[in-house]
Amino acid sequence: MKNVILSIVISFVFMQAYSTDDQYFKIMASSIDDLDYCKTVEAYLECANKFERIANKEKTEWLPYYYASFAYVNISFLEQDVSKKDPLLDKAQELLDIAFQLAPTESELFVLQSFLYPSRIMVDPMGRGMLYLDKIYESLDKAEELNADNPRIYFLRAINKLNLPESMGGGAEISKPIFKIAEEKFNSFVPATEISPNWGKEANEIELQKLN
Amino acid sequence: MKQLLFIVLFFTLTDLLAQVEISGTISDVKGNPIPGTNIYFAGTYEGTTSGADGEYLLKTNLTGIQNLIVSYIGYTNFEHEVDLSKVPITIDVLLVEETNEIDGIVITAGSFEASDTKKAVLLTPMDIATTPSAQGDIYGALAALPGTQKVGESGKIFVRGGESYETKTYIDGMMVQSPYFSNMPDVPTRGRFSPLLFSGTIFSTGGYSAEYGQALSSVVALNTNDIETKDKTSISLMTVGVNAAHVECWDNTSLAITGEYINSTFHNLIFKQEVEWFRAPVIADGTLMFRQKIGKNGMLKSFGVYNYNSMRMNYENFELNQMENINLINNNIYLNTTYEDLLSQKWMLESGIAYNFDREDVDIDTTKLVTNKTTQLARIAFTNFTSKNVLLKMGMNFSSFQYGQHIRMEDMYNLTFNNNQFSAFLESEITVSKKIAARVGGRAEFNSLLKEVTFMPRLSAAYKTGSHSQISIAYGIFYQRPEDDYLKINPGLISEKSYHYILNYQYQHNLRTFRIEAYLKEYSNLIKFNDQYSGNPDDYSNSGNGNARGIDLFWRDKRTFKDTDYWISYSFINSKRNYKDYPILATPHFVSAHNLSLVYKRFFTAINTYVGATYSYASGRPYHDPNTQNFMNGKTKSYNDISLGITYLTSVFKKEAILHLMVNNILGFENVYGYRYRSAPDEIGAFESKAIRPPVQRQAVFLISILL
Repeated sequence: MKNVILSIVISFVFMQAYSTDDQYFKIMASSIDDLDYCKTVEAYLECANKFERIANKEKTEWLPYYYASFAYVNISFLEQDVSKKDPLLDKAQELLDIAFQLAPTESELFVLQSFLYPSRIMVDPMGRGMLYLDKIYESLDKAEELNADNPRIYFLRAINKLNLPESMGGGAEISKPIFKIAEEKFNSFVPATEISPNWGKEANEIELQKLN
Repeated sequence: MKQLLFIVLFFTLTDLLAQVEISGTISDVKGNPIPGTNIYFAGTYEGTTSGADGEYLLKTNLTGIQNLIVSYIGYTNFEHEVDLSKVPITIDVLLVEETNEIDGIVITAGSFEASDTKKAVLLTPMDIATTPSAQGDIYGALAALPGTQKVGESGKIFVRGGESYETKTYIDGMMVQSPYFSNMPDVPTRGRFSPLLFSGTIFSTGGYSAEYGQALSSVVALNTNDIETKDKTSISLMTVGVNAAHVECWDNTSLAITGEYINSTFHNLIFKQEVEWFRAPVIADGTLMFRQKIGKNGMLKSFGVYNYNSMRMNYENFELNQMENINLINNNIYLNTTYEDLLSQKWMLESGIAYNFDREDVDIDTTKLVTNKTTQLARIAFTNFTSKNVLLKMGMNFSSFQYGQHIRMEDMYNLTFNNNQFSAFLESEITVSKKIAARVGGRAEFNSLLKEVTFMPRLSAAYKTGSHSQISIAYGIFYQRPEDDYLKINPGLISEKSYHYILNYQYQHNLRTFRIEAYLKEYSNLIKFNDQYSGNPDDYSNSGNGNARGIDLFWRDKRTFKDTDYWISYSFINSKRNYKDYPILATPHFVSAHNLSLVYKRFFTAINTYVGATYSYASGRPYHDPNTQNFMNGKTKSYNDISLGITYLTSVFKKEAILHLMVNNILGFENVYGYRYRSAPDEIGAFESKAIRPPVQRQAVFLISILL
């Protein structure tokens, strides 16, 4: 009997020791699941709050900061009041900057950076368009330099080209082959861990279908 | 086995028993609920988000004393220690709004700032480059802001009853000796420096910081571009010339080179000129911009510009009733190098040296005039951030100026003088509370030529009246040494002096800005003489004086209309002077009581076209008619101009390209800037007159720019 109790106690102790990591993965996985179903500002804010709480505990992991920032960028796109976008993006940038410090050569962070800038442009298209367009290209090039197999680079590049007028080197014709490349990359893409960034595949398919 | 079950149950039970509920409401100080706040225990995963009514319910397995944090964008974090053993727990939280840059307090009296990086600004560098009436000139763009006068025959900027020389241009903190191209009589000039070289501009129409001296009315402070991060090459072809630019980047270094050649011969064949050109204006210039990051925070910048401009015209000197063949050649070199670094967490260093050489060769028939001006300048400034609420800035400037004019008529004359100027300033910006900020400072200058030490107190303050509005005041004393044309004859003159008093209200919210500013200016020690071209030093004195008062209004709205940005700028001024050869106190010829600018910009996304239009109005300007008894009694008709700029973004040979068309005075208003009178009356005793008109009534410039 003593042995049983001892083994239980030991297993508890072991579980406690093991569980911090396990707990992190679990809560991240479930929060990422929630993030996939977000449709509204409120839902995204709830997710952002969750990731920020995780980030607050796991101060050396870049992923919680990444997802919190990602949620805020999405909120900024949904937000209709132009004057509220910049503070949201400041927050997103602040979180992203911490992630950059933790993982300076992570391709996904440069992708997120290039996903953030278009929202800045929407605040003042005329005043900011030129400046941020250059920054978007720069971030995507950097992301590609760090990991050319990251499908989100090509997806965002294609989206940018699609939204750009034909006369400026954009349009459906130009963007379609890039969506195709993205599709190939998505098909062969295996995320580093279960909780690593793995978004964009469906959106890429939808865009491709629209163009067909 | 029973024991095992017991143990498992025990653990589950303790878990259930241990769960504590905390509830409450999150609201702002006015009592409005805040949904979406993050409520959690520090260093744990445990937390929740407040609902639509600001209410929350947090269930936790934690025990003991924990630190509860409530955070939300734009609000200061709330932290509170909670003893989880004392149930039930209800915690209602009031969050306090953070003061950030947008809502924070900035002293706005007198100044307009254009910047890419700061948020609370009224203009961006793009605005300057795309204002149609500006035709790509910095000063032209500033002339669409309140506080300025439309003085079409000059092209320079006139601020609040001040002459053009009363506005000084600073580049990277250092004064520029010759910011405009040399000009011909009644032919407007423009700034030497392209607006694309600068990423920040402060245009101050009065009451400025103690950092700036030698300007009686206004300061245009330009900051050269930061380090570039992308290689690029572009070429522009214009109906008046060509421009090519290249940027090369390395890890911590960038180099930008620009070359330009402008020749208006072809242009002048199309657009009928009021002036008879023997040789149409030609400009050639080259710019070099070098940037080097040093260490973590250090930045070394070097900037060099060489300009050449020349023209030859047949000028009708109406006063003397003769035609004059005037030839102008102007060469100008401007160099500056600055170094900025953080010395520690508490001190920032700014330092720089600058050199400016300007040579002007003017031939009027057989008379030759050669004017050389050289400035060497060194500057050092320190900023201290020790206290969060007190920012301290101090600095010193040394400049040496050499002036030499050689005149060859029947006789030869050499007019030369040198002036060494030493100046120091100390200024502190104090945030008294979230609602009140003040800037208190002073400046001292010594001029070796004038053998004079001057002290200039400067004071400004701002009070926030609401979350988006504030009132600012500013006061200051300003000195400026007399113009070279007087000092070369009488070096015994002393500095001219002005006082500024400014009251400003500003509202800025949601891409809309409203601003109203009232000011009062007093001038003393202005230069007076009896005969403009007198060579006798005793004819010049500092006995002139004057004043100016007025109201400036500014409204800008980037929100109401889709993809549209417009602003309205209106100024009312009442200004009188008794200076130069004026017999009495009178409104000078460059002052019009009412000035209005409407600027409209819209991007038509469907056709990739950016359209800008400007309407400018100025009420009549005074002139002196010698046929009447009273001095400066004439008044011109009002000035009107509609300018248009169309930019079309496209691609040429698969390269990004911009097509740009600028048309000024599209409706062909016949503007008159003033009148010239014969110096001698005709047979019946009347003085014949001639209107001063723009050299060209209406013109268009077309350019295509390709990014290679």
